[in-house]
Amino acid sequence: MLAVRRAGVLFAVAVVTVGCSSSSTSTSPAVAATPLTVFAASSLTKAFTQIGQDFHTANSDVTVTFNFGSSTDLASQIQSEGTADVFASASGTAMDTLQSAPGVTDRTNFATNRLVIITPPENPAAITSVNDLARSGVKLVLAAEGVPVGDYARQALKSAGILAQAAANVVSNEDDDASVVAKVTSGDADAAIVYTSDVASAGDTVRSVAIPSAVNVVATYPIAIVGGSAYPDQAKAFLDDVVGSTGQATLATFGFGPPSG
Amino acid sequence: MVLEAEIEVRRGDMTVVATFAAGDRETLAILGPNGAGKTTIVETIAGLVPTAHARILLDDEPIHDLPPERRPIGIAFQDGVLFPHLSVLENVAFPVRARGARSRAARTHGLELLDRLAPGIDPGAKPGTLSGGERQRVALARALAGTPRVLILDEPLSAVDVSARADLRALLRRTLRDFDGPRLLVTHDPIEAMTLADRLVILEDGRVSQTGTPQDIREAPRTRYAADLVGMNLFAGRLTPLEAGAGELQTADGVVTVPWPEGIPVGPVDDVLATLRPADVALHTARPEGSARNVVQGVVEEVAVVGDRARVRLASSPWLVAEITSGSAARMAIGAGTMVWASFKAVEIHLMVERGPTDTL
Amino acid sequence: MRARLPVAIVALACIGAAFVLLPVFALFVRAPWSRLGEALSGVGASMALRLSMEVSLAATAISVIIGVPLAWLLARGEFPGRNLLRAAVVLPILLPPVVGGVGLLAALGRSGLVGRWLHDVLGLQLTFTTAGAVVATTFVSMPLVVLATEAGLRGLDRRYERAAAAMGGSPWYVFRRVTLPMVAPQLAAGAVLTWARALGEFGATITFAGNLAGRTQTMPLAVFEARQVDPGGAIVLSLILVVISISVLVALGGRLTGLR
Repeated sequence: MLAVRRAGVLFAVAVVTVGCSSSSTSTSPAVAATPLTVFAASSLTKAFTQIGQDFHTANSDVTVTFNFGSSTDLASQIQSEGTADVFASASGTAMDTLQSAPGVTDRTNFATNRLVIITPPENPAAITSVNDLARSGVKLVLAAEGVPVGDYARQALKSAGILAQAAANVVSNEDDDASVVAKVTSGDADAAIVYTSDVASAGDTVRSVAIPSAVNVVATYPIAIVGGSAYPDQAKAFLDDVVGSTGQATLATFGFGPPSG
Repeated sequence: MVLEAEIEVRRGDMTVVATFAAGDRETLAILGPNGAGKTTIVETIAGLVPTAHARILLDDEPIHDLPPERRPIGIAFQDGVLFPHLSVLENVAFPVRARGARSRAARTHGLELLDRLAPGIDPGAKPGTLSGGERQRVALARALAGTPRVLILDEPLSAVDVSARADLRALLRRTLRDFDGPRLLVTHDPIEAMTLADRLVILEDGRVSQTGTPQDIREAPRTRYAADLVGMNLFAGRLTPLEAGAGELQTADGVVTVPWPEGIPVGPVDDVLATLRPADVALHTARPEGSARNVVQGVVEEVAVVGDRARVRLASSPWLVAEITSGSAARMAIGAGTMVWASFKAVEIHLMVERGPTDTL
Repeated sequence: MRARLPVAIVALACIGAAFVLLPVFALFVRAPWSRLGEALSGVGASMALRLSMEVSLAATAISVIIGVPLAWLLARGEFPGRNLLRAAVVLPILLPPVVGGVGLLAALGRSGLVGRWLHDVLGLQLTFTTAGAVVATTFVSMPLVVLATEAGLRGLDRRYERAAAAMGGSPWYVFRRVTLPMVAPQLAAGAVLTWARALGEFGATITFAGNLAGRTQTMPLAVFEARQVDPGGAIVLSLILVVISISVLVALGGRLTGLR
């Protein structure tokens, strides 16, 4: 049993180390570094991580820590726990819920995102258009209702007039867009609806099929300083960065559209 | 039916090498101190030691290649090793059921055996509720249940307390006698060996040091252990009343006066055993006076001096071993061929009589 | 005679008890009792509950059927790599369940090592199915019954099995009538732990089987989804799960610890 214990300890250590490497930016052991907490929609993961690193290079006295997740989830966390300085949401509705409590300031739309269909590279179900999603037997994965990209997807399917048939094809309701993408990259889903920014991140691990603009949904992303933040100045600086040219350029490389649509 | 065994097996840092044979209806005792390798031999014959080299023939048919469950051997283990989660009856029926018999037939057979060997024990009881002696009886029934061709008893009396031993010993003697086939008795107790076996194989440190009948060993013990074994005077025979409070034990080689055992109805009793410590035998150069009821005359066969003690073997009736100080031996000029008188008191004789079906608890 | 425990031990024990009881107590306090009826009769809740029971019981049954022989192999077998095998068996307990799910995808997903063959040759896909949920749940909970049974087997006095063989029992008969009954208490305790773990399984299930009401959405997944849209409903679902678990465990009582 000693060998097992040793192996077990090694594995536990490895796992804890891996599990603990969060999405926080690496910090130089600065003495009086200001910790800035940014809650952002999971679709912003790669873009904001980059923005955070660039921000820290420019402002070495500020350390940005991110919490990525579904916007609805994050909004309720902010309401019950506080501790966020900045909130960047994938839907206006999620931001709206914070309007009264704890309140937000400097609310600005900073990016847009559109929806796109993705399939595994070999496209096992031969999906070539949005109407193919209505074909019976297609394994479709969406984010759950209540998650912004899940609601947007259903909205688009409704506009395309195939919501009922497509809903019958749904095999899994995921918690956020990253999980949806994962089901496609593993090859288990035939198709899914996610943001175009997710495609940019996924690269050639997925194949994309465009959704006609007539039925597509434009998701507008607002960012705001959370009321009660302990570091409103640094929060404003970060917000300005995101809305300003450097942030916008980064967002564009990751597949986001400009705030005006 | 004859059992022949040639065994060589390595256990831990000891190698056990033994060759012996048990004839039809012969009880062979494998006798040796603890750790000599006796249990190893039993397990090898049972087929439970895969690393053993063994040639085991039953009536010239090899059985050493058979897996343990196919060997026609019944074993009563030390401590019984009764299955704790099964009832007494289920334990006894196990060998029968294991070979595919139907439940009803196995039950009937088992109840018969229990009735014969362990009356008074509830067949539905769990082994944990039984005393040591009761467990041995059930183990014996279980060993016989599968109608084996060879019966092996592994230290049958060692886990039984002294008060129950006499009864159990008598039962064992009857059972062995009634068993049709070779029997092996493994023990470290010389009394068990001497009284239950026809022949002995003395095992020391994994090797056979001597084989022979109890008489052979007694007359010519080849090792220290063998000599110590026979260092107890043993009388076995029929007990008859002599007078109030006393009886006569008629053995094969003489008569001994003994106190009448308590609780035994006055009348002839068969299969009585008695022991007498050599130190309780006094030696004299002339016929002694005194209260000792037993006085015999005999020629000294051998005097063995160990330190300040001298063991004197007498060819007397009955045959006796006496232990006196070497000083006394020298003073009396006792040596082989000397004629001496020996005396011992009746009360110093320890009788072992079967008390019948009273309970051992 | 009642044992007298040192005060420090009693104090620590009270803290320990409070620690485990507090969240449960809080659930009871925060539950929207007025909505209880509505939430209980809701299709979602009963579907999730039924699915939880089906999946956890199936996973427990499979765990016992393949886990007990595995335990026997680990306890009695002598072969090179045995320690490695045991480490592999313990692994699902140490790994975060999501990691287990990722591994299962790599092995049994539609493009997985073995899953590819299952799909192309047999037309079977485990992901997004109830069977897949059972597979994921079995993966993370089987180690518990294996370890408990192995420990039980190691603790058995081998003399009984040897005696049984000498009494004419074939290896299978000995296993059935002697080994298994004697190790039954530890096996049962392990099976209960397995079932408890299976009931609460989340990470591997959602990663491998996905989340769809009526097919793969067990109670923990339903609670997770409800969190976002209906926090009150999430509490109600959680309470249902807690009450059922407590009832079963209390009913099993002392047998949980393998005592006769």
